Amino acid sequence: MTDVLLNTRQLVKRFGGLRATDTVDFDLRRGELRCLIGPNGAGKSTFFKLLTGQIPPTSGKITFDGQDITDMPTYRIARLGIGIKNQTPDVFDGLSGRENLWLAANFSHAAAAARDQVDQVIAQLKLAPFIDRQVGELAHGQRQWIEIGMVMARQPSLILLDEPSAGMSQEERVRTADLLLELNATCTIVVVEHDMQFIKRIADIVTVFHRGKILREAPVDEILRDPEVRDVYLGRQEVA
Amino acid sequence: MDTVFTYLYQVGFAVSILVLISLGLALIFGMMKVINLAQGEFLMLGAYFCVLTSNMGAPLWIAIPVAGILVGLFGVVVERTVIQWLYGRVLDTLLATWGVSLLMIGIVTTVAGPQSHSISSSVGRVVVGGFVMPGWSMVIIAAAVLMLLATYLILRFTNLGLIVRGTMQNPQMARALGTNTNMIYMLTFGFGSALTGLAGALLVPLFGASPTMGGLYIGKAFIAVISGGPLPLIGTMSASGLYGSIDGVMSYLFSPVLGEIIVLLVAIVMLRLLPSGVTGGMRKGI
Amino acid sequence: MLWFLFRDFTRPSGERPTVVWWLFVVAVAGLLLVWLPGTLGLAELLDLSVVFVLALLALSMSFLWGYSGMLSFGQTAYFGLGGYVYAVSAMNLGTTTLPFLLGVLLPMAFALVVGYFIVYGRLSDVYFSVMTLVITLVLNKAVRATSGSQYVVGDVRLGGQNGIPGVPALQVPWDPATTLFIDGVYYLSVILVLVAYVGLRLALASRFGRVLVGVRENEKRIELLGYDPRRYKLGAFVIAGGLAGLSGTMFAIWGNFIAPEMFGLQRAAEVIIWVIVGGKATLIGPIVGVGLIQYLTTWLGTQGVGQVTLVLGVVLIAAVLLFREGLVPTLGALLLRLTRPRRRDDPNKRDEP
Repeated sequence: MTDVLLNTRQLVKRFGGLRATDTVDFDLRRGELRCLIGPNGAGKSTFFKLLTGQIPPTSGKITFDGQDITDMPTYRIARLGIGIKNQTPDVFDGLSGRENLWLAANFSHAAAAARDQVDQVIAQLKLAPFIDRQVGELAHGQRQWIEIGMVMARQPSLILLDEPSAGMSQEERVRTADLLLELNATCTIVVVEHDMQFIKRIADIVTVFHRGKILREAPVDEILRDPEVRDVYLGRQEVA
Repeated sequence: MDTVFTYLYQVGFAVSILVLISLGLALIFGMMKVINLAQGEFLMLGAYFCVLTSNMGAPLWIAIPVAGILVGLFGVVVERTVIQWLYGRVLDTLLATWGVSLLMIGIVTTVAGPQSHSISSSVGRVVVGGFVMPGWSMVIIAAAVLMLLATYLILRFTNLGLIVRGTMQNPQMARALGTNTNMIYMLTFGFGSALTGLAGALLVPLFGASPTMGGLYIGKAFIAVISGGPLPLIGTMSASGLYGSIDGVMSYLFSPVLGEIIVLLVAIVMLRLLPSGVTGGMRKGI
Repeated sequence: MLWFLFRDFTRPSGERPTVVWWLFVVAVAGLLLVWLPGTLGLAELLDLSVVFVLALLALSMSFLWGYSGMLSFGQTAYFGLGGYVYAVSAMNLGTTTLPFLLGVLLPMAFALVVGYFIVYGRLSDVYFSVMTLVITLVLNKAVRATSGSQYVVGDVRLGGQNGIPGVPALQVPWDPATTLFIDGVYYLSVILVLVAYVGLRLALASRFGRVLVGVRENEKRIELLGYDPRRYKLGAFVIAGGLAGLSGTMFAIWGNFIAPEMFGLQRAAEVIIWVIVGGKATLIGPIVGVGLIQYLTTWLGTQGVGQVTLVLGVVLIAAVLLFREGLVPTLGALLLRLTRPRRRDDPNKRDEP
């Protein structure tokens, strides 16, 4: 087994004339907790969608765990152990929270083990107060938690999180950050985030996207000091 | 020579019929994304209006346009009473228009009876070499070409056509620019209905008018529009060309029903191979 | 106590059936199989049988639409196919057991082929609906065109518009000399509906059913969890096809007669109306819907007032524009509110994690 869990080579996604992802070479080591940052429209979500097969790349190659997954259908990539939380809550609105988690856990577990797994996730994320209600009726933040729970219930080896703390209170953000650090003990994580506090709390290496390209890749302190990064992205934001 | 001519005629006629019956649907379903299952009954209504007007003593060349206009007005009424509440609720539209379809069949059967009505055209036969064709088929081919051309020119080159295309693509933006989009939806639906009514009236001298005639044409029309893909007009017309040709040749060689079955099979396989239709790769155009 | 049952009528989810539910099924079975035949005459049983025969078709529709999210307009294709397969093969073979099975299996095979193309072609919801309708229309037309004497399968003329009269009655498999009479057909159709109802209910509580409901709710998310949604949809399509085929077979047995109307537009619309009136996301609703609409059309027929299609059209438009949830869920929700302990006052309800 190699040390590299995921890499992309010359990955390009074109929408009409726009290069949403532009010749991206991305490497991720096993066990990393990587943050992706970049202004809106920098291509971070597109990049995630390419990695999970939700949209096909125009050209380039994606390798996960030594396997070429470039043109694999979404469900087979998921089976290899990639879990994703999309930017907006992407859950089963008509089902209860428990049913949502069950569908996630059931894929990799037998029935009884799936129930245990669901209970464990509920306890770990403290979902009990609203777990039996229909997810469509829940608040935005609660739906986010359900979705994070679904990703966890599958116990993937790589977790992709697109803005997990969006719409959460400050206290919840701290909890989310701690949760990610805890999860990182057993799996590799890539997080797209805007909140610098959050990033500073969890990240080791940060990758900066700009106009579909990777602009920088460096430890978080270095990134915060980098004038060019500040220019394209942080300049408009209070750097704490 | 005669064989070649026979095939040309068969194909041209089959394609024209398909163009006629699917043109209105291309606007209503292809452009507006309103799946109007009552489309076949709009066609039927056009045929009945034509029979009615002509029984009142009007010559065919007046009865046919009158039928088209009346069905267009009827379409506006249906849009205002049923469809306008259902924009964006695609499946509900489908179901409600099916209700309209049943209602129309019921009303027409009650009023005019279940039997078929027919009128004859004064156009005789056309003889080319040793080959004799019903003259009305020539009228149909000409009408299909004219109606298609007119629709294309209106949508492509007039101001109103531009507003319609803009509204269908981005209604919010169109509203922001001051367009009364409700009015545009209503007009487009009415125009599509009128084209369908016209088609129904044109078919009367060949096939007559009966309450359940809509069901005979609706399937083919939907196949053509679905296979057409994202460009409603050009797509539908290309698909009509393809399926009409297959239909024409197969109907001539075997039987009309077999022709239709083969068209359906081709369409299903095409959808597996080209899920986004004939014009799937194209972005611009109508 | 009763509220659990009502919940089953409003939104049966993947929950395992409870004891109360099983008691309910047994009670209904007893009512229909023991009490009712004793109180009704043969003519009434005959009228009632067709409700149960068609209820199978309604169940096929609600399973596909309400639970899998696929609105098929063409369940009548499998219904008609089942009827024709049974009629033609029974008249050719002289026995009825194998034809009965064929009447279910052949529609399933047909559904597998059609489903492969339209499910794996990833046709979107609406195109799926329209394509299934088109397939039905073309089948209808094809069968209508078989009136000539050259359209013969074995010894049986297909008969085009006129259909096939004299479809053999069902023989008892272990005693071919005995055939099912009116009461026998009634018992069989009731039993089949009960078995289909319980079977679908259990299937929905299984892994397959839960994933299927997940596909209806959010197909993309199901795929991101590692399931191939197309396999589940195709599975549901084939099951529904078999159920519709069974209904068609029973319809041919019930009436001793089949005609192209089985594929017709009016029948296809009726199926939708049953399910929409009864409530699509329940399994009981559509059965009630069949009963109501069947009663309505029969009554209209005897009154001789106007056209049945006209009334069906009005019912359909009204159902879509006015009451979208359907009759059974609306009543169920009402009863639920009356009987269920109120949860709105629950102080923990709004707690954030």
